[in-house]
Amino acid sequence: MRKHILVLDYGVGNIKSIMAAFKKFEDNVLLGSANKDFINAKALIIPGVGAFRHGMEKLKVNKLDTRIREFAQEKRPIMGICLGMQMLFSSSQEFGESAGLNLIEGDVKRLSPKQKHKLPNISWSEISYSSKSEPLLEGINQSDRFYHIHSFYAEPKSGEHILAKTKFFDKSYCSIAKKGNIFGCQFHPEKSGEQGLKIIKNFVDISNTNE
Amino acid sequence: MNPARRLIARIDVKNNFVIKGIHLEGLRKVGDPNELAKKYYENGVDEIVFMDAVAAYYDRNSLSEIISQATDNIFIPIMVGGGIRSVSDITDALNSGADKVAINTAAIRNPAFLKEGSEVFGSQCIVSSIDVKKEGPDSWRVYFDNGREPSRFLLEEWIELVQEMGSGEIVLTSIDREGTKKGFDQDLARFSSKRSSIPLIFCGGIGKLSHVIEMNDIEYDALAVASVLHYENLNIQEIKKALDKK
Repeated sequence: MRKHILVLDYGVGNIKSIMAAFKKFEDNVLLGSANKDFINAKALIIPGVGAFRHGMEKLKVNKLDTRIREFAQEKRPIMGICLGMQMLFSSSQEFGESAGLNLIEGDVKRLSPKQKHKLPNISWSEISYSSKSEPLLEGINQSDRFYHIHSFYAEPKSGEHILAKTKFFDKSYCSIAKKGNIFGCQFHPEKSGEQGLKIIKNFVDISNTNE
Repeated sequence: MNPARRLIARIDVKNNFVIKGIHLEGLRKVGDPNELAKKYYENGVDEIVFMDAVAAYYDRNSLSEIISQATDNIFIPIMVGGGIRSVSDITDALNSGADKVAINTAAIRNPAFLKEGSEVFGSQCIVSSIDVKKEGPDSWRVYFDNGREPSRFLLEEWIELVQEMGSGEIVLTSIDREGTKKGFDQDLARFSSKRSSIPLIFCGGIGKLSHVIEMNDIEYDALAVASVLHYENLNIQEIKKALDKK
């Protein structure tokens, strides 16, 4: 039996809020990055804020990138949040081209709507989605707002990996990606009040069903 | 679609009490920081700022415990400011659960500190807190040490520099209006709006809903309020509605 939800500790991002949010719905949340932490994990959370290249370098230091790929191959659920989502993709254009985990095909690009606008996008924005039976979105309404803070976004190569979209001025982009049991969330569910906590709870439920 | 403007609750803390002054001076105790933060969260505020009111004076920040407690119950962004002067201060604030730090005095003394912070933690984490006093028509002087010391910078110079140094946001306070409930300085709002290419938070002076509505044709990103919430003059939902009014 897999025991805990593993929140990956690799020195990037506000981990305390993520831990607190998951602990509301799961007794066994572990912050770690050791091999043994992966072995007994029923699901993996990849947090992270900041620069893509810096994040990927941190993942490579202890071969965490390899651990994450193995985790994905075993079909255990993964959720990447913000930078953690972007790193699931093939590559990023932030500060020159750099390679990602390539678990979802697609690229990370700079948000650049045609209208005059400010970056980063720091906003509580509505998400829209079309799936009617997605467990991650159980109880989420189309008009619910989530806290976004980013200048880059991930664009899946295939539209079928887009679960939800967010609009920023005239630009509509993927804000939740899904491929099998791999989820990526561009906004911060752990910072989005009660609606965000629903997404966290839904992911915990997915992890438990998957066991 | 323009994103909706955010409403931020500002909580100034001194010796574990929430305090509130006028023009950043004459402080009065108004309650417990964690109780107020929880109440504002439950009432739907978008973000919370904890400011250590005396930290810049004593070169320390004492909010870690309060932030740490807050993040167990409050699932919205938390900014912390006051006495942030080194990378290790930022690390401490983030480790206790803050998402962003507001930097003022340390940046005036050494603008490169903003650059250092944004390179290590990302721009989204580094907020420039700017306190200004009016000197003449369309002229504002940047102050530091809690509004006590004039700096060598005029507002437009400082906005340009903090952006260049990688700040992700600006929180702008009019010392002349702070705590007066006379409304935010509209000339200042228009002046800074034209010069900022990063998200802009206006802070201080809001006393009634018309103060919010009169600013709706100005382009800005978030409004930070304190007294009107602490003293329950206005409630969060009605301010948010006023922010959205076209």
